[in-house]
Amino acid sequence: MKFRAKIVDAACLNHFTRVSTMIAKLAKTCTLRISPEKLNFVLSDRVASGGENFFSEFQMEGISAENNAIYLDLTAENLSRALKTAQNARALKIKLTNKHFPCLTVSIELLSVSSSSRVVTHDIPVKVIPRKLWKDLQEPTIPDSDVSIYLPVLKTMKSIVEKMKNISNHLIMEANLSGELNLKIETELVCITTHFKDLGNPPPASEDASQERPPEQMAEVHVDIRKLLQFLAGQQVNPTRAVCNLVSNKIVHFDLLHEDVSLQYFIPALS
Amino acid sequence: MRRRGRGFRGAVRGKGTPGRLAAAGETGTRAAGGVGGARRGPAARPSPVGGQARPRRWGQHEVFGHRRQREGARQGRPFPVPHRGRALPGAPGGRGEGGHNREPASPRVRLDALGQNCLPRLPPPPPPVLGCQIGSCHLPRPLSLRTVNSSRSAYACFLFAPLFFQQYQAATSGQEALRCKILMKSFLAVFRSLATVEKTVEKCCISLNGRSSCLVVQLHCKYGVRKTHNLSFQDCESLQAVFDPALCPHVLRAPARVLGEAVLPFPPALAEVTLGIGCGRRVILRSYQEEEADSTVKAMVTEMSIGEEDFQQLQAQEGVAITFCLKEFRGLLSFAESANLSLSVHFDAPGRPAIFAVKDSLLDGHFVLATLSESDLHSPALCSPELHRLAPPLQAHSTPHLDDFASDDIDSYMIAMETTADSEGSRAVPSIPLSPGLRPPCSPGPFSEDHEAEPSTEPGTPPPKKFRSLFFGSILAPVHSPPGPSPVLAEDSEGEG
Repeated sequence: MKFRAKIVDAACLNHFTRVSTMIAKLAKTCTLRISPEKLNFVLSDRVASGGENFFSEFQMEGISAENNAIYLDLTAENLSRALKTAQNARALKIKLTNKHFPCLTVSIELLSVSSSSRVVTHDIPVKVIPRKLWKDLQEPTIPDSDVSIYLPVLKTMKSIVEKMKNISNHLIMEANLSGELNLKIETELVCITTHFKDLGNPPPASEDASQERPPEQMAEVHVDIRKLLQFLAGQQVNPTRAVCNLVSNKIVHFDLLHEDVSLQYFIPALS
Repeated sequence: MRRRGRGFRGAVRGKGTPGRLAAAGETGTRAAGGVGGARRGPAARPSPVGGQARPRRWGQHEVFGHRRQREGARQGRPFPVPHRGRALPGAPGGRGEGGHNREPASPRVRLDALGQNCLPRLPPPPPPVLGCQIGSCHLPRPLSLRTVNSSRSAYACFLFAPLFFQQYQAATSGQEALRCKILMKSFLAVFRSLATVEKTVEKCCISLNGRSSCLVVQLHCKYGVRKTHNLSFQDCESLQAVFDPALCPHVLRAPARVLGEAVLPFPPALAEVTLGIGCGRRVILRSYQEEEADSTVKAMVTEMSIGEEDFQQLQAQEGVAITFCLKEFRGLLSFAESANLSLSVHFDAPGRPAIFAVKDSLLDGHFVLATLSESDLHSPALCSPELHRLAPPLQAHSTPHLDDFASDDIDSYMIAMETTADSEGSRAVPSIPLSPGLRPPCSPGPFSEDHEAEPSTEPGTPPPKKFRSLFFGSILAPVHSPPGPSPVLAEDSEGEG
């Protein structure tokens, strides 16, 4: 089982750092799925994956030829902290090593004023996940959604949801195919609704789906506001594309695309 | 007589009347006036600061730095220039007779006027990271601030030359050194916001009021605002440590900036770090984690490797390494970085204290930190597996100077150690209270023998932390050599200072 990768481009490095910081904000531990073409970060309800474009060198060898993948469990904060020191790095290398315990060694060569370079090495302890648990960590299938809508600016959404959190834990999200999204909370004393208009809907996957459903009809899902906030808080940069898929009374699915990184986030409905 | 352009000497000699040890009284033509001294000196000159013309009222030499002129020389050596300050008795900040008349006959020591731009360089004296509540202040000369943390595994000492101050007056020359203990928190609270201090404070006067047991810190700020802080102090025994950087075989020296960048990758919460020389003469800093018996979650290990070229001096062989507390080191490092100084590390075998020193023409700072003894080094060797070295023999000390600061030379000193409160008179020569490898349950065997495995540790108990209590033993009687120091089993105190 082997894994080596190298990043030399400063922009890719920054991007990778940002992704790992985002992951660190979302969950304490995450699972790294290393496969020949890509690197996936798997968090318990959500999946983020990054492509091979980050790395100038990427070599891996899975457990066996049939199951050519490696699953590693690690503390997300460690990786994010390790990458933070790579602000002005000349090159970054990631390797799977075994120094008394299996770890992911991140080796960063820093730019230095003097001729000699400085090298920072971080050994992040990881746990290799046995093959029998792999099926739990597969990429989830995207369910057929009732409504699919583009999200507003995430920062705005975050500040609104933050204020709502103080009032109630129970948030109702509803959207329709006319580009309207509502965030509602209802308590005994007060009802607050925020309306977002003219958001636009992505083209439907299949044609019949769009025809069946009247554009004004709202699909609604009741979710825990804290989970939504956790997701929004982790977004530092506005994604290239952000879509929200709602399955009435079942699940909310966020599909974000940041250049090369795609993040899928599922929030189940409150029963 | 104009003394423009004349600098201070390091030595402070008392001139004239007791009660005044003027900082620059070297020419002797002006006797330090006693109380009610005659009006002397040249006619009033325009004060560069306020444009006021005030006559000089007192006779002794004072040399005041002038703020504006000094500003340009901040980075270099501030060259004090006399300026006519306020002279009216009873005027705020009035020195000399005026001051004395206001508070007669108290055992009063005045330490006036830290220069405006010396203030930012006042170190967080000493950093509260050491967890120590107490600083002790030795007057009259040179001013020193010292502290030790409660587990006695870290000691810090800053010495200020009289040059650091615009004016420095001690009490009667016959009076012995004044020492007092001040709560660190209160002292730091006076200088809390450095940015504000830099902007608004023009002058800072520190004086010791023996009668009311108060250390009075007066900040003279802009727009006529004057803040007076009365910090009560306690008398204390002298706090001195035995250490001599010259005895340490290994030295490394680098600009503080290099070391500051080196500790950047380490998490702020990291307690201990190992510093050593690795292959290819590279200096390696590695995070040190204590191994817990049943830890399932291992911690991240970070290692920083710096080439030899970044160091101004590197005198150590490959393979030597010491482990010390990073938090305390960071305190000194941040000060050294802000003052743009070089930091030198003198160390010896693991277990023996490591000395971190910063030096300037105006001040001298030393941090002495305990290091983990060799048998506790669980981390893999930095380069060669051969970390075991012959123990330095327990050498007898040469007689240290028993006076505090017998020499005015603040460059090198060997200070007698005493911690008993009652031994003012009899100061014994302690034998080195350092014997690494000493452990409470075992008899003190020679060091070289037991650097391998731990002695019998009872199963189920965590291994005792082996930070040595460096050099503070209690001296029971002058002739007896003290028993070995009680090893410190507690981690550096984290009590906020």
